[in-house]
Amino acid sequence: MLLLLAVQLVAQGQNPTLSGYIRDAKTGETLIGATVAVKEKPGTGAATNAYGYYALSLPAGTYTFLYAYLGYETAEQKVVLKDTQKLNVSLQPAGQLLKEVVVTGESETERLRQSQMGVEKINIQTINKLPVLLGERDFLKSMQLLPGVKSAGEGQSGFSVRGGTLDQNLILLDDAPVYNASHLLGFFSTFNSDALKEVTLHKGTAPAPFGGRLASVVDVKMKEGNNQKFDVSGGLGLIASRLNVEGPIQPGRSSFLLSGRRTYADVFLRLNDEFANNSLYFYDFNAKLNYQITDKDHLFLSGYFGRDKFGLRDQFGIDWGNATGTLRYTRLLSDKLFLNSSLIYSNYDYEISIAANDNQISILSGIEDWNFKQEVQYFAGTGKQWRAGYNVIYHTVTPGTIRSNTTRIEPPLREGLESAAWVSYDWQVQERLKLTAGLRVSHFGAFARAGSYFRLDDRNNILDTLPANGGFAAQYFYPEPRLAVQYTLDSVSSLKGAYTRNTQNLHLVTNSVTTSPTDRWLMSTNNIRPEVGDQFSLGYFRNSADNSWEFSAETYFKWMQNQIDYKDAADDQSPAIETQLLYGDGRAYGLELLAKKNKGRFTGWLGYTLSRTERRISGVNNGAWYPARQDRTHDVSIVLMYDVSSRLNVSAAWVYQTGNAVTFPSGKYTVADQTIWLYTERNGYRMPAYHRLDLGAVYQLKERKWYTSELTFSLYNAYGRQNPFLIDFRPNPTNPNQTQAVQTALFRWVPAISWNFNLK
Amino acid sequence: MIMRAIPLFFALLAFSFVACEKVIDIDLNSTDPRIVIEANLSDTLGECTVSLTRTLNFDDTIAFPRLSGALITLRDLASGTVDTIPELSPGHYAKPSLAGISGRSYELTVLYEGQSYTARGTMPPKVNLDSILVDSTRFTGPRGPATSDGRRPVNLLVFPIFSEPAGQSNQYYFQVTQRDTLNDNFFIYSDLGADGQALLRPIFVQTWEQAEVIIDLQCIDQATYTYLEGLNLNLGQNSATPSNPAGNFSNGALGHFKVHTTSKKRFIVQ
Repeated sequence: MLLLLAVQLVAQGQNPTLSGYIRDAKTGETLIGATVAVKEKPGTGAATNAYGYYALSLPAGTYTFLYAYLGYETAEQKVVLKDTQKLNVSLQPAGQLLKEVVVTGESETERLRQSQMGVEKINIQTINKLPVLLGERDFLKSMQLLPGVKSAGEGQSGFSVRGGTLDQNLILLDDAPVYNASHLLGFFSTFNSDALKEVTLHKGTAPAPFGGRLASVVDVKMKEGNNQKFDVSGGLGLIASRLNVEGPIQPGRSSFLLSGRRTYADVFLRLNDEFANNSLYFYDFNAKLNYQITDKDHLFLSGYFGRDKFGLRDQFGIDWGNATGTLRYTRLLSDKLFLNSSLIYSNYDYEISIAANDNQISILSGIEDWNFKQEVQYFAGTGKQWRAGYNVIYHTVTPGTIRSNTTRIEPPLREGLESAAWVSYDWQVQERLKLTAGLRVSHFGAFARAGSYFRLDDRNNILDTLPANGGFAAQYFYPEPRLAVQYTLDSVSSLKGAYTRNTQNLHLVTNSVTTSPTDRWLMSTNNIRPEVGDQFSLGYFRNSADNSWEFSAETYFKWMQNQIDYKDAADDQSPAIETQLLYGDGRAYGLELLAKKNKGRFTGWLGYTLSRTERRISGVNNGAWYPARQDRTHDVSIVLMYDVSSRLNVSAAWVYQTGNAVTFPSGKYTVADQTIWLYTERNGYRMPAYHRLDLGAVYQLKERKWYTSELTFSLYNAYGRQNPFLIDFRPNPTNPNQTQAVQTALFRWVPAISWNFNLK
Repeated sequence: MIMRAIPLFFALLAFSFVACEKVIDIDLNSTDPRIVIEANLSDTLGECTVSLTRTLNFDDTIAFPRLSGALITLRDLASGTVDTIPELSPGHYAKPSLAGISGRSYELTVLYEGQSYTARGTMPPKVNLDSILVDSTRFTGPRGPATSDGRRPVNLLVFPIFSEPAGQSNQYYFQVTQRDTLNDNFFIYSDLGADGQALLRPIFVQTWEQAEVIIDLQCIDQATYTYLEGLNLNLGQNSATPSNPAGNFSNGALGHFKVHTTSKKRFIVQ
């Protein structure tokens, strides 16, 4: 028995490997998730990793390899495979006439055959065609059109995935976490689509290399930059303008990319006299440098810097933004062994300035991360791939520091170390069965510094502060198993199941109805335990016979521990925030249905989610289960895109959602001549339903000598419905002895137009 | 306080030119009425008052019932003296001759319709309001309407000047009164994290020309601070977890027994 195994291992070790990079022929950009199939061996194949690298081991022989990626022409290569060899392939982008506008970036059957479920790959080109608020492309808003993803509110970039809270989503830009993923109060995304290559959303089912948040991972990859020729593109819009410059430094070897954006929303503000001399703007830059040192070594440097500024004359101002940087080195240790080492930096901070009485006061707060990560990918054989790695993140959180001409109040910094190690195995067990099994172990330690942490009594009052002892004030260790299984029923359908455990050590403190850049990030402490989530999911996937339609039905059940809620009348600005928090369990379950058309002149999708998310927190609603704020029972999205001609594409998106859970008063009384609202239970009511139609069109203008250009039109909320953003209660102005409920709606018909160009 | 105003600032400012408001019908549940006791005791004569009302359902016309015939007693826990507070008008009970002393604890008991409601408060040490600095030159923002006799609205920033004692935990409530009407939110300040530091934030007062404004520096205890914070959150309607301000009365009574010191300064608006 042992001998047989040994022989098998040796024999496998002797299979030659075909490996290399798959790239875009025009720009040199590597293609992520491009597939390599073997004509002679259907069901065998490989896909490129996040760096465009693939490796396939087969018994010696002659094969025809098919290289494919959506939006590109499939390439065929006949190869006599005797010894291990390299084959880099460049794919031509599909011609305009054959334009197959596809909705996602995966091949037609990849969704059926991959072991991962709860995954959506978002194609940037397609997202750019969807109509959005104020005409600014924003994949985060477009992602809210997918089942299982709900928006946080009108126009907000924040979102909730499978019943999770806004802070349970990990948004990564080239592996660097982005803490505040929106500009201008949530109405614009931090991401400039010009600089992006691909976005993948994992709805809580990410494999072992990912961790740190319970509900989702949004993995955003930046483009490397055209390494064949210099490319300048940009756009002028109503609210913001952008410029993108990319090109080779050494053709075929190194390239750079630089994108910038700036908004001028304050120009409109100044039209109103009362707001003259106020400022409201943002700007951001994305930069990437990449250098292929040798055939085997590659160096990448990417960065993001963005800032928002809001000012009320020179008396009050708030300035906030993110900065991220990633330095990555990849090396092919052998044809089958790929090593990736990265040093990652991320910073989010805000500063509030108040000029009062000749005194300049500023309040600063922020979070800063330094992260070192290494991962090895081992292409063990056909259908077998290992990944193993570790990372260590050093977090520093600055709670509000106050400085003025005369005083300086600096509460102690909080520092923490978050580390993880993982092993993951992708295994095509047999022709019909594929699985990904992994284990991630995570550790979190909060450093004990003088005055940072304190002990509370059982009524949440401070007892004493913990001393600084050179070690951790609190430490947590969790194993996180991950399992995903895929079973092929026939050539057009499959079944999948998955179990994932995630833990989370960063928590966003926010207790207002509207999100604000001053919401604070908090790490786990001796009082705040890490959040733990267990998700079970099952799904049925089916394609139509010609793969032009995809259907899926996914159901999930999540159990969450150490969920945070606020006590009654909590002060989320309290310097001792732990005195305001309550903890308990959460559960969420739902059904997501999706029908998607990928081919032809007419494409789009229809998504429906039926779900429930609840919490049971001691101290709230007498410890009974109650709906979480983000609970919305029904959520429908219909997206249609139609190629009217080779120049004109029109699109429409319609959404319908039942209202989220909300707390309304059940009575009123008077104190100090004011009317005070009497509340009975938390989240016992629902907001009214929300629905909206957006229309858009993209028109390719006549090609000119030096450039090509297009015009995009969008109409947000085409039938102008007054969708409720806030409901508050006031005295009736005509009869002040009566109270009425008043709904505030933000946007009715909002048209936008922008002009985008591309230098030739 | 400014921190809490920020989300509202944003929501109001950026969308004041596109937001629309509409009155809607919401079916809100009714609930059993609860008693509301607003009680006050300061270190100055004439400020010992108690008001008794009840809650109403959301759809009821506002005519908060004033509750008569309650038996209200105030006990000084140090000396053991018990005083009865008589009813001067329906629902309004007062004893102008009663004043408290810093450091002493007091217990107020209200006996009404067979139910007893008790609250305790300790009078904090006194801090005097030394002076106030009024800045009307640079502040802009929403203004009130003109008065009926043509006096224009004025927005002021008022800076209270006082010595914050270090080494003790102090909470303050700056009560702003204009012609017997209180300011519509409660300006409170706590020295937590800023012990011994001067107050940097100004009080925002919307007033009119030639109006008389009284600023009263009241030293309050932690329970009263938490209660006033709760009132502000309740009025602001911007909390994701709105709730009832937690007062210090037992047996489910809403309202609060506020025990405080006073130090007033008044000025006339130019």
